[in-house]
Formats: sequence, C-alpha cells, structure tokens
Amino acid sequence: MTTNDPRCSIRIRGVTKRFGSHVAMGGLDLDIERGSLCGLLGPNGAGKSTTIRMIMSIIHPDEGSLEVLGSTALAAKDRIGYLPEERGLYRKMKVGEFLRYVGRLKGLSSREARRSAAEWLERLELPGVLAKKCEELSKGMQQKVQFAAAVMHEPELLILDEPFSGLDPVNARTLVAALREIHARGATILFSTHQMHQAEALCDRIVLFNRGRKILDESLASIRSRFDPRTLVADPVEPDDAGAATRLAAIAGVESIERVGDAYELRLAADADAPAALAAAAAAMPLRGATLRRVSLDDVFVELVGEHPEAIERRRLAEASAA
Amino acid sequence: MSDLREPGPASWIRRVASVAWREFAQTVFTKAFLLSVVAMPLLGVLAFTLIPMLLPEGPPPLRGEIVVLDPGGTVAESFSKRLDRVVKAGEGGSDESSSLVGRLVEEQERAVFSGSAISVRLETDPATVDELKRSLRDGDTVAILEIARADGGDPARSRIESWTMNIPSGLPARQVMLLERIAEGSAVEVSVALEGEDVERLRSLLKPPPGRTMRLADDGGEAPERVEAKMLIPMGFMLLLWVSVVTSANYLLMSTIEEKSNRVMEVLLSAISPLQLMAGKILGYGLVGAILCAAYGGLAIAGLAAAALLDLVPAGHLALFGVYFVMAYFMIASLLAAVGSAVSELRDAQSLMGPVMIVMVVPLILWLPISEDPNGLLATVASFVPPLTPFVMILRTTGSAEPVAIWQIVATIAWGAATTVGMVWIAARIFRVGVLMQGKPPTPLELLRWVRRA
Repeated sequence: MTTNDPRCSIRIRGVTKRFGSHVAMGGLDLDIERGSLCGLLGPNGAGKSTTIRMIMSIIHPDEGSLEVLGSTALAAKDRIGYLPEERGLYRKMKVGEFLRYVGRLKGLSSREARRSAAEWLERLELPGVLAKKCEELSKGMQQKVQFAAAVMHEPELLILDEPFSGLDPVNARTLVAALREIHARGATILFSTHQMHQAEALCDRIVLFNRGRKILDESLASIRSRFDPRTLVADPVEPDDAGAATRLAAIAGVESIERVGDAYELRLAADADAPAALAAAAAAMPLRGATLRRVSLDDVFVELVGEHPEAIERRRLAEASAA
Repeated sequence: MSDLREPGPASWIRRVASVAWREFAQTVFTKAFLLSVVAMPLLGVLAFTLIPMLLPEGPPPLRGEIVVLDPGGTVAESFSKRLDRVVKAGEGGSDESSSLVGRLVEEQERAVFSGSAISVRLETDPATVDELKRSLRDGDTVAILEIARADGGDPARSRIESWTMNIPSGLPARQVMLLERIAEGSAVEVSVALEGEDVERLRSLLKPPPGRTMRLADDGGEAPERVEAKMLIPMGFMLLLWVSVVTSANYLLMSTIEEKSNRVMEVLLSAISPLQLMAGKILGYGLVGAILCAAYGGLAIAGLAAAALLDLVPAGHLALFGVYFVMAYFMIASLLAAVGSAVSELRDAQSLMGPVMIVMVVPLILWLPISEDPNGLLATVASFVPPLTPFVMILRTTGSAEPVAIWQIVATIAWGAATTVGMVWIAARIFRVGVLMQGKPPTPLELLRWVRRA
C-alpha cells in the first residue's frame, strides 16, 4: 500500500507477525504523524521491538502493509536513524572510526561524517573518546556512542528501541535533552520503552501494547482528559481523628477508601464529580492538603488491562523459567 | 532540517566500497597481519636476494696440511688428487647432475673449500699419532686421516679395514662432511686398485653419459621434460591459490560472525542492505587475498629468480593464475559468507564448515594424480566440478608439458564464471536471511528454505 500521505512518517495497516504459533503482533493499524514524538509502551514481550523491526524492514510482516517516509525503510534508510534494542559496536574499532564508518554508510561525505561525529560526541558529553577503542568505554558511554551513530546524519525519522535501558539518571537526562533538541528541529521520533514515566515526561503521543495488541493510541493530553482522575488524596491535620475515615467515606461518589501513612486515598466512582468530592473533603475536616491525583500511564495500563505491567513482567519471567 | 547526504547514482557502489575498505583496513593494517603475512614473505625475499650477496660464499678458507697416516702409504696420493679436484676444479664430491636438486647441491659444494690452500702429507709410522694429534690441537694441522689396514704382510698390499678422521674443534660441518666423502672415495679407490682393477676405467664406466628426456606431443611437437616443472611448479601455484583464498575467505567468515555476535549487524543493516554488506565484505577480503598472493607469490618468484629458474613461470601462467584466483575466491568466499551469516557464534560454524573443508581438501588430494596425468580423464572431469575448477585448472595449465586444450581452458573459465555467479546468488539469499537470525544454527534443509524464501 502506498498512500504517500505527507502528514504521516509511518503508516501501518493490518500488520500481523507470527513466530511459529506465537502471534507477536496482530492486526496493527498505526499512523505516526510527521514531527510527533511518540512512545511505544508496554511490558516486555508486548510487541514493541517486533513492530520497530518491521518498520525498519529488518523483519517482514506476515500480513498487512507498512509505509515509511512515503516508501519503505529500505528505500529511505538515509533519512532514518535507528538505535536497535541489541546494542552493538566493533569492540576493537576506535570510536571516531566507527562513527565515520556509519556516517559514510548513511550517505555522509567523509568530511561531514568527521565533523558530525565530533559534534555529537561533544553534545553527548563524551569529549576525548574519538581515539579510544569502543571496548575501552563504559556501557553507558557505548550506548551514547550508538545513539550518536543513529542521529549523526540528521535523520527525518528517528526510531529508538529502549534508548534509556541501562542508562544512569545523568546519562538518561543527557539523552532526553538531545531527543528534545532533535524533535525541536522537526524530526519525527518514535521510541519504545517499558518505563512509563520516561514516556510521560517526553512524549506527546502514546501507543500502548499488550500481548501483541495495540490497546491505546492517543495523545498524552487526550489520555489525561479521557482517563479522569479517580483518586483523591486527603491529608488530615489531625491524623489520629477516629471519625475521619467515616466522614470521608460518606462523600458522594467515593467507592472505597484506603489509609496510606497519615493520608487517605479515596477511590472515586466513574460517574463521580471529582471537583465536588474535593470540595466535600475539604469541608469534612481540616486538611493539610487535598489533591486529585493526576492519572499516570501505569494507572491507564491497569485500567485497560486490569493488571499492573510489573505483575505481567513477573508472570512472564515465571512462565519463561518454568518452560 | 539540513540534508548532509551526498546525492548521486554512485551511492550504492560507494557504500559497498566503504564496507570493503573497512574490512580491508581492519584486517591488513594490524600489527599481527603485517608481521605474520607480509613481513615474513618480505623477509624471505630479502633472505633469498640480499643475504647471499652479503654473506661469504662458503666457510672460511683452510690453510695448512692434512696428514694421512697410512702404513700402506697408498691412500694419501688418491686423497690428495681428490682434494685437489674439489679445491681447484670446484667439482665437489658429486657427479655432474642433470637434476635441479643435484645442481643446487654441486653449487653449494663448490664454495666449501673456496680459496683454501691445503697440502697432503703422508705419514706411515703409527707411533706418531699422538704427536700428530698434539700438532692438530695446536692448530698446525688441518686434519689427520688414519687408515687401518688388515694385519700381516705388506701394508701396501693389505686391505683397508677402516678409517678415522681427526679434526680440530672449530672445523665447519660442511668442510668436515666433504672431507669425509673424499676419504671414503679414496679408500674405495685404493681398495679397487688392490683388486687389480683399473680405477680410471671403472670411474669412466660409472660416470653416467649425458642424457635427456623429451616429451612428444600428440600434435607433433616435442619439448624437454622437466620433472620439477611438472610436479613442483603446479603444486606451488595451487598452494598459493589455496592458501590465499582460504585465508582471506576465513577472515570474511570471522568478521561476519563477529558482527553477529557483537550485535552490530542491525546497526549496519539500518544503513545498508544485506547484499551491499556481503558485496563489500567479499571485495574487501578479496583485496586481502590479493595481498597474500602478491606477498607469497613474490617470495616464490624471487626464489626462482635467485636460482635462475624464472623460465619455469611464463607470464601466461601468471595471467591464468589471476583469473583462477578471482574465480576460486568468489566461490569460497560466498560459501563462507553464507556460513558466517547463518551462525551466531564461532563454535556453531564448525558443523557447517565441515562439508566446506572436505571440499577444500580435495584439490590437495588431487595434486599427485593430476600432476601425473594433467590431461587424463580424472583431471578433465574434475576441471568441470565447482568449486574444484580453479584449483584443478591451475594444476593442469601450469604443469602439463603437453598444453591443455584451449577449448577446455575457455570452457572451464566460462563454466566457472557461471557457477561463481550462481554460488554468490545463493549465498546472498542465505546471507540476507541469516544475518538477522539468532539462536541455534540452521539445518541444511532450513538453509534451502532460506534460499527459496529470501
């Protein structure tokens, strides 16, 4: 299918990929608009990497069609930057040589590749590593070198598979800053992660996968408006007030109440008027504070799947070790 | 967003060239390669050409006398004559040889007593032996040759039972060996004379007359048979082809497996296609193979030049070698590229390498029968069996006194080129699927499926 929609960097229709009897991704429809910063989320084994590898034409779908930058990833390689999940470097090669080599393969001239490699290493806070062998770098530094290799040709579309895994907070911040800069320049960025908070902090668009199915595909703002806050946190001035729990539970729309430390978490019903409940809590007793907790992607995932991603991961690991 | 990319239709080729250059440079510009592959043959060439010029031709010349302690008194004369022949006429101990090896030996022997001035003195009293040994230790005598005769009667008519050569501690081994041969010859000569035979007549009879072997071709031509050309030169060509092809193709195998095990393959394939990667690798390591050929072939040619035997390697043979190198390299490299792409670790490659190595050993086994009969049925049939074609043809074309039929050369090159293209095509299909596969190596059936599916 070639629609050549200029608004879309990636267009996926009805894509299914099976490995033996296991359906890694089933019936996926997905449009990634140009200039968006989109996160593919989901627990391990949800189908994120499979989707990315299909987008990159590294593996091919059993059914359906993909369009990347108006054609295929193979035809548009020079306009795409890609950081695979499996990190790889030539261990004995010097960092500068490696980056120049990848730059040349991406279509840069020798001079441009040299200049861009030096610039990106500087930007990623890796000065003085050009002449070092890749094997001499720490794991985090190697990951940043690989990131530099993915972006040094200034791609229109940047696809990153778990870019933050294994990075310490300082390096993760450096990478986030670089991604924001690339995005501000107009590039489309698609990255996968199973760390929901990273996606919340960075993305304007979220696609959530579970067990080879897309279960959510919306902008972050839309998600926040659709999944209204359902939890009211009330922190009484007198935590030992014996009647506090009873008074809070009596507020209209409260389904359940739970004590967390000195505070109370009130779970609201789907049709509850959250602002009214907030006001009622403040009227019921003196409070240090009362907030409607912002919905997190973890909450959204739990609401959609009925299970926390960490619980899914634990079960997956248990099944794997049993097998 | 700025566009840093170079436009142009040559982009595909330029990327292949980038891969080829990386593979070539990462292999060749290493201390290990330079030392083991290039420096050693270069040192060999230097050894062949420069060292003989710098070194003296033989051991230091001897000056002094050799005492022959012979109660019969007849050995000294024969010993003296033989020694004179070696020292003055430079004939060495061997007869004139028509073989290459024989000529090289004679050449070496001529230099052993070069510039020496040795006299032979006869001593008949055995009682003087201790005094003679003192003199030898003092450096006044070069050697003492003691002759033991059978007891009784006139010592001059007694049979020679044994001889003992006493030499100073510093006498070079090559001079000792030649003196031993002269002593043996003298003892034999005296023994023959004791039996009443004419020594000169016998020597004349035993000297082989000049001879040569002519090989008559079916087309009426004839040429002198040169055994070394028939056996050694083809073997040299074939080994050079084998070593350079197998070594460079093995580098390709290792590099492909390394890229898979290091997980750098996916980074590469996000920039270039599997076909570009394979083409670059094959070309890069082809250059490595060419360097190996130049290094080892140069060494061999220098050796032949030093021995004044360059006529054994005509330019036409070198041109054919170039053709067969390209053919052999592409065949074997494509096989190993396919193997390398299909496995994730070196140990997994062993099972797939087994059949390839068996095929590679066949040319070595066929060397003797094909050298014996370069135009026989076995040679002709094997010439059309890929990937043996280039190896068998280099044996045949460089070794046969009777030229291989032109149609066979043309047909095998055409057939070889076609099968090379076929092998590269199959390898490319396996490579395309294999480079992205991880886990256990595929079975031969799965490989076939990859070829069909890719």
